[in-house]
Order: sequence, then structure tokens, then C-alpha cells
Amino acid sequence: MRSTIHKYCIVALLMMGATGLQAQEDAIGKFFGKYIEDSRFTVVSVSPKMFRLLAKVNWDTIPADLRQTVTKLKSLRILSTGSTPRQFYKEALARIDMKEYEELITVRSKNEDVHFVVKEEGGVIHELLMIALDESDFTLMSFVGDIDLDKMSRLSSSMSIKGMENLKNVKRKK
Amino acid sequence: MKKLLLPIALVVMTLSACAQTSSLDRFYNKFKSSSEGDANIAISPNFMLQACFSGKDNIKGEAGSWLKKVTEVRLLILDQKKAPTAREWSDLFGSLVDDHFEELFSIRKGKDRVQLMSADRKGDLKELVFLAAGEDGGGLFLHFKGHFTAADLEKMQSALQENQSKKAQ
Repeated sequence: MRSTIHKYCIVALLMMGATGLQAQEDAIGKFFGKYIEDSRFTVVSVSPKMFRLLAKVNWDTIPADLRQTVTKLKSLRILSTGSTPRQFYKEALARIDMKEYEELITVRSKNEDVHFVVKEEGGVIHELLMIALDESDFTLMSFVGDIDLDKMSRLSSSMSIKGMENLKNVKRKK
Repeated sequence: MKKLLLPIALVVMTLSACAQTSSLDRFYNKFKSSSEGDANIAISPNFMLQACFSGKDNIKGEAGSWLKKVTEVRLLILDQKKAPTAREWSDLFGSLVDDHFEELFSIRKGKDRVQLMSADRKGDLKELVFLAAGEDGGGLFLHFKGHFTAADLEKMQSALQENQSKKAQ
């Protein structure tokens, strides 16, 4: 009887652990999920399947190192709105558990507030998250995959995403 | 007799399930008939096969080899006159997931929406659907069926690049 209770306890603990992990992963997912159908927002989503397909395509016009960077990405999600941007910026900061992330770049000026944070494990960056606010817009952007910051900073200059230009300031790996 | 009832019921249910049309078919059939001024193009597998044979001199190897793998193309260009309602677009987007389509990318700005989805069917049969819905209800419906492999995608890409460089010259 005691061993049966013991087994149930282990199963319950494992389930609680799994649920906890799920909840951590879903912090951003929930934010995206909440506003994905909201017409005040512009939403861009590129799925893991699309990145897998891109990995199989032979691109001659793009330098090999940048191609490799893109093929290691798993998903991209962007949420942006010009409607009450400060309110959504505050909500994002409150909802996303910043303890899970390491601060990379913070730009704070009169007109702009930009945070680049990363989720790192075993020396590999698995997520790059940008939370940006300027006078007119709030933008939340999440890249998931094996991320090479050096190459991402090169890619950032060709992306027309507000706040993304700040990534070029990231220190290059030696 | 009772023993036979269950298998018969199962067969009937299976056949009725097979007869069900997909959400894409229902959407296409509804709006191809209602679109008077709108563009509506459907290309059958037979036509695709003939086009591949008759055009093989003009279409060089690489492009021809993936073109013949396209078995069906359906295109609807819908204007606001008899456009689907926001609900109908939304139902279509939702039901594609039930039909085992996976999202490749999506962009939504306000009520305008663009979505590319794909589904892997039996063997190497793949379906690609591109939907663009505007705020006024008008939009674009493009549905491809074909036996594509990853190598074919690569060939499509190089065929497009070749075409672009010829235009540039």
C-alpha cells in the first residue's frame, strides 16, 4: 500500500513538474495567444515547418553563413500595435517572467524603450526576445532556435522591424 | 443478424466519411459558382500532364520535372461583390487545421490576413494553400496539389531564379 502511494506521489510530482515547465514556456505564447486575433495588432508568424523547408532550399544569392543562421531558426513571432502601446508594453513586461531571461541590450531614451533578452542553456541561445516601445508603437518579437547573435546582428540590419536596428550594437563573439 | 449490424454500421460510417468533402472543396465550390465577375481558374491533373508533355521543349529539364508533379491547381480571385464574409474566411482558416494543414507562415494586419499552409498526404502527395483575405471580404484562394519532394522545392527555387535572371538581362 505504502509503495503504491509512493508511486502515485512520484507520478504527481512529475506531472506537476511538467505542468510547471509548460507554464514557463507558455508565458510568451499566452501573450501572443491573447492578441493573435485582435485586430488592433499586426501579427507575423513563421512556423518551424517553414524554417525546415527553408533549410532544404538551395540559396545561391545569400551568403552561406547567413543561410546557416536562418536554417537554425525554428520559429519567429512578431506582435505589433500602435493602439495604446505603453499599456501593452507594461502588460508584456508584467506577464513575461524575466527571471528566465538574461538581459542583452537595454536602450532607454526619451522616445524609446527597447529590451533584448535571451534564454540560454549550455552556452547556446535558444530564444531571442525583443520588447520595444517607441512613441507610436509597441513591438514584441520572439526568435526561437539555435541563435548565433553575431550573425543575427548582421541580419538585423536587413530587417525593417522597429527596434531591431539596436541589435547591431551587440558585442561580437571572439 | 445482430452480429451483422455492427460491421454494416461501420462500413456505412466509413463510406459516408469518405464522401465528405474537405473545407477547401466546400469553400471553392461555393465561391466558384457565385463569382460572376471574379476570376476562377481550375486546372485538372490531365491538363497538367499534357502541358508537361507538350511544353517539354520549351521548359528545360529542371523546371519541367517539378511541373509535371503538380496535379491540380485551383485559383479564385474574389472581389467584394460576392465575397466571403469575415466569418466564412475565419471558418476556413480554422477548419484547415482540422484537415491536417500546418501553418508555414501567416501575417495579419488589422482585418487583412495572408496565410500559407501545407499538408502532407499519403505517399509524397502534398497540398499547399495560399489564402489572402482583405478587410472588405475580397481575397485570393490558391490551392496546389502535387507530389513534391524537398529536391523539387529546390528545383522550383532555381527555376524561379533562372527566370528572374533572364528577365534582368
